[in-house]
Order: sequence, then structure tokens, then C-alpha cells
Amino acid sequence: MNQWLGLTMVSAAAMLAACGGGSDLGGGTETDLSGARGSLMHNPPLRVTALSAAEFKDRLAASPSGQSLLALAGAPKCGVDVHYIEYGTVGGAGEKTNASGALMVPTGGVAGCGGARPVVLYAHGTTTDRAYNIADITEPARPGASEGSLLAAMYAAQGFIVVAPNYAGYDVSKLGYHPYLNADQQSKDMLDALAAARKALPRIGSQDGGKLLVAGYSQGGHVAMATHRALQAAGQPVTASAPMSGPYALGAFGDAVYYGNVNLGATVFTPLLAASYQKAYGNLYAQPSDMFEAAYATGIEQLLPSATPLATLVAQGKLPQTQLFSSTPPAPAFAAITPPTQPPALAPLFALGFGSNNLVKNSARLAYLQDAAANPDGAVPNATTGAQAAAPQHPLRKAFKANDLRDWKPQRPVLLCGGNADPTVFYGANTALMQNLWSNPASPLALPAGLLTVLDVDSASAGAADPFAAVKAGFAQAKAGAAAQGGANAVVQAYHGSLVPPFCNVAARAFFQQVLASGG
Amino acid sequence: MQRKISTTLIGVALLALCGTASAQWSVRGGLTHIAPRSTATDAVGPMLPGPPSGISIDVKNKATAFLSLAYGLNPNMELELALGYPPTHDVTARIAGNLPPHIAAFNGQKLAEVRQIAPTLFLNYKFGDASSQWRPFVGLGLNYTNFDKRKSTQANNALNGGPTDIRLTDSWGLAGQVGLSYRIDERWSVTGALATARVKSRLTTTTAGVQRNIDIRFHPVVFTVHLGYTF
Repeated sequence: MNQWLGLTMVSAAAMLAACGGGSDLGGGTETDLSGARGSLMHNPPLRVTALSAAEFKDRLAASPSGQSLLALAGAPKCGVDVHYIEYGTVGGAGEKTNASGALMVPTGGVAGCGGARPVVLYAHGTTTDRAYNIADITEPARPGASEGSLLAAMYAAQGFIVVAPNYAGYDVSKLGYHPYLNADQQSKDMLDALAAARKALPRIGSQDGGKLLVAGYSQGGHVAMATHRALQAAGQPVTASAPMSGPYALGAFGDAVYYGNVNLGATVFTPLLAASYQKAYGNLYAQPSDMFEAAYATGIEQLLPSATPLATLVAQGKLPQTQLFSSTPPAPAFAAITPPTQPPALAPLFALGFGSNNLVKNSARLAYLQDAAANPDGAVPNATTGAQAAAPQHPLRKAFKANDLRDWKPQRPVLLCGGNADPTVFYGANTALMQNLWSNPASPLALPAGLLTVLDVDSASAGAADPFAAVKAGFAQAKAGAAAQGGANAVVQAYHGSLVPPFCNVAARAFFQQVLASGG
Repeated sequence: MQRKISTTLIGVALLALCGTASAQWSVRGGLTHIAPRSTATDAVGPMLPGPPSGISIDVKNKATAFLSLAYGLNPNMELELALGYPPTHDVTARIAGNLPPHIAAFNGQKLAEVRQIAPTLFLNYKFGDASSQWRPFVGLGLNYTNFDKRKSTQANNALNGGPTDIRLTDSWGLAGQVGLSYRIDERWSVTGALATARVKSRLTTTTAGVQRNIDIRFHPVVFTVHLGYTF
């Protein structure tokens, strides 16, 4: 091989290796995989979609559900950029984990869309879908798309920045369970999402206006109130909150259920609660079969949330549809509440919670009821002080008390919104109970006038002066529409999950706007 | 990694060459035009429309300098290592028309530039003999393709939702060519060749930790004109 050729070979090899390889991202990304609370894993976070106001409006107008949302929320004033945030947080036992969520920012040149904007920190309602992602509004059928679109239309398109965590245990979170209705963990999850979102805002052309509004629906109503309480306890600024249809008084609500007032969805809530509190406190049972019937006990701690649709889990016999308790009384003394026949209007609902394929063992119900009788709640079964049980001994009742929100007085405005006929989260044992504790002058938790607003969307308008007259009228119309289509049962089925949420959110937005306008 | 493989490839070629005593070396230089004729799946991954997502890509044509080394095994057979200055191809968006306007607007826009290094080792059979004026040939070979340099455009970042890292897997596949050489004199010849190869790659974009994939098949048509010198 002559030299010339050797040179050629070398230069050919050099040609191959001519320039450095690699990837040019066309922009800088910061990565923080420390997992520290409130750390934002990727900054700027992924932008899932960028809708102009006009395009968002067209999109809503293209579907019946979108049309009704458009009618309620109003035409989008701002465009909406939906970002997907991943952040570090903790689990129910304080263990380090990660979670994800949505950060929505209003866009567009219209006044009230750009610059520094108020932040709505929103807590979503119960979902059994492990893949729930409230930032993924790309396709309407995705598990978080409906609630995500509601937030985008209701708040972001009207000039609010929205931060909405998916919660630990959902989407890409590595936590193998969800700390359901764990007030301490869930408020931390919310605040960690908020801290992470605040890190992202400067990188995505948005700005925190310094006003923080906390809202949430159903489970999220409890989370929102717990978050307001946590912010206040930490001395962090909060402008107002609007917990909606939430189980605030968990001790009273739990007792009501065990006294036989089985709510719609109880066979889903019970395993979620048990897994959450067992992880957090470790004392609910020695093994799941202490609490759950053998047919369901195996694997129940890992059952929810699930990648399998709830209907399939029920069809597979992993959960009963509605039968929480046995129709055989746990003791003769409890025959009258197995199931209860009073009040007659609710007896058919309660009856659904009983049967022979029940989820919770009679022995577990009996132990709970005996403690409830020995250490009664102040509101259930008889309204006395309205306060929490002083010293419950049963581990589940202790857990409920630890997460019961009848222990604080907000210092900033609160709107409690719900519907009085809610079959899923009882209004009386939660919203009305909090209202009484916070407004009855004899209550140790009574608030100064003007701090608490309570809205029952399912009530008669108080006339022209009623600021919520339009919301009540709209709800009445929607409820009548559901009844006309599917009768009373359709109303019961849709009440908590579909009928009330949009109207309460409209009210919450109006409430927030009014607090902001009055210098809040 | 890719450099190691390229070096190894050249080494293998050299080893193959050194075996035969009566061998002839040629070096060839010229121009090549690469039409990748890519077909790509729709992007798959979290938070995309669909499925199908309706979001895909096309890889555009590119001309570049050609260089090859050939070693004659006998009057009719030669080994040829085809190289060339690594071409950088534009990658454009192919977006389904039914997608929302803010996504459909990206259709046809340049999303990326990707540079490929694609050494190909051919075993050529040349018809005729050394003194023939015109010598047609056919070749069968092995192609290795590495996409060593990728650049995401602002349009791509806007479509994906943030600064985007692009990676493409390496490809190994069969290659083939047909061509015709014209003998100028004992040393010099001019050749035109048409080559193709089986090239498959998985493109992965990573935007703020979120990965999406597109599988690409190339059905390249590579047209080369070069001048050869035989030692």
C-alpha cells in the first residue's frame, strides 16, 4: 500500500469524523431531578397545546359539552397555553416521590390576559384512572380532558393562571398508591405543584400577579380547604378559596356512612381511603382481610387508582358496584340502619349500599359503630356541638379525625359551594356543617361577618339581589334537563359529577373576581 | 460510538483488501445526490392528538461530495467503500389536514436538520474487461447509517412544546447499486451510478422529559457521478 493511498484513507476517515456530532435542542432546558419538594423537573415545562382565544372558542363550539361549557364560562377572552409540569413532592408517609400536573397561562394581546395574573390553584375530584392527566386536553376522551378543559375555559381563558396537580399516585408519579384525602400530604402536593409552577412562569412568558386563589371540587374541595389551612398556618399569603362539594368534615361524613347512609361511590372511596390511611398511619388493619370481605381483600390496597376502567373492575368482581355493607345487621341493635329507611327520600339510595356481595366486613363495621356510639361525633348521628369526636379509638375514625377540617378558622374569604341533594358527598354533613361552625355565633370557630359565603346551587334564588341568581337558575335548568332525559335516577347519577361542578366553578370565578376587585 | 464503528469498517475493508497480491487500488471522487424518499409513521407518545396523531415528517433531498476507495480482487470483482462528505438533510413536517389550525399550520415547515454518515461497502461485479471502453457494473453491499448531528428548529420546538432533543437510531442494511464506467485512459475513468439501501431508523424527540417516537424507512435513490483514478 503506497503512501498516497494511506493518506487518502486517513483523510477519508477524517472526513467521516469531520465535525462533532450531537444534538442541538434549539433552546435551553434546565433539568432538576433532585426530587426535592417543589422542584420543577424540566424548565421550561412541556407545552401541551397553545390555543388562541378564537381557536379555543371554535373548539368548544364543536361539541355539545363544549357548547354548554362555552355558554356557562363565556367566550374565551384570552388564548390558553397548557403546560405539563413534573415536580418533586412527598407521599402519605412523607416518602419522597414525584407528581405531575397542569400549568395553564392566559395569552394574547387583550387587556387582562398578559402580564402579571392571579393564580388559581385547583384540586381535582376523585378519579380511579391511574393515567389521569389534567394537562392532556388534546383529545376529549382522555381521562383528564374534561376537567382540564373546564379549567381552561373557566379560569385561564378569562385571565387566570391555573395550577392543577394530578396528585401523587397518578400519571407518571412513581408512588404506588394515592394519598387520598390525606389533608397533610395533599396540601403539600398542592403547594409543591405551586412552587414548581412558579419556577416555570418566567420561562414561559408569564408572571405571577401575587394573588393566590385556591379552588377544588369533591375530593378537591377537601384538598382546597386543607391547602388554604396549610397556607395560613405557614403564614403564606392566600387571597381567597372556594372549596366545592367536598368532604370537609370527614369524621361526621364517615360516621354517617357507617351509620348506613351509604353514599353513591362508597365502594370506590372506601378502598382509596383505606390504602391511603394504611400507608400513612399503618394501623388500620393487620391485613386487608380484617376490613374487607375475602372476595375483595386480595390486592385491594393496590387496586385503585387503576389503568383498568372502573366498570371492568366491577365486572371482574374486584369491587362491588354499590354494596358497601352486608344486608345482615352486624348486631341486632343495628338492624334499623341496615339499611336505614329514614328519610324516605334517601332510603332507596342508602339501600343500594347493602347486599350480600358487600365490600366491608360486618365485623369491621361493628367495631366502627361501637366506637362511634362510645365516642360520638358532634354532628352525627345527632347534632350536638357539631364538633369532631373528642377521642375516637377506632383507627379509621382516628384517621378521619386527623383529616377532618373542623379545626380551623380561615382569615381570608371562603366560598363553600355545593348542591343540597348531593348523593355522593352529603351537603348536610359537610358544607352545611362547616357553615354552621363558621357562622353560628355560639360556635368557637365563628368567623367575622363577610368572610364566609355559602352557595347551594340547588336552592331558590333570593331575588334580584341574589348575586348567584343566574347560577341557581342555570343549575335548575340543567337539572330539569337531566330529569327530562333520564328521570330522577339520571339526576342522582349526574348530580355530583356533572350537574354541580360547572355551576360551582362559575360561582367560584365570580367570587374570586369580586374578592380581587375589592382589593383582596 | 459512531466513529469507532466507522473506523472498524474501514479497518475491515483494509483487511479484506490486503489479502490479494494482484490487487489494484482506485480512489474516486465526485458528486452525489441523495433522495431519501422517506416514509415515516405518525408520531407516537404522550399528549399528542389521536391516535393516529397525524403528525409526521419528510426527509428532504441533498447533494454532497462523494468519495470512495475500491480494491480490485480480479478483473471483474472489486470491493468498494463508498463514503462522502456527510450530508445534512432538512426534515419537514407532514401534518394531517384534520388537525386543529394551530397544529396544521406547521405543515411543510422545517423541523430539523440531521446529518448522516453512511459508509457503504459494496462488492461490485464489472462486466467486460480492463480494456473495455464502457463497463457496466452491479454491486451488492452493506450500509451503515448513523445520524450524528441533529438540530431542532424553532418550528419544531413550537410543535413539540419546548426545546427538543432529537435522536435517531443507527441502521444496518443491504445496499445495491448499478452503474456504468467510461474508461478515459489506463488510470482515469468516469462513472455514473445509481444506488439504494435499506435504511430504518427510530427518531425519538425528547421535550422537557417527554419522549415521542417516529419510525422512518428510507428508500433512497442515490445518484453519483465521479472521476476515478486507478493506481
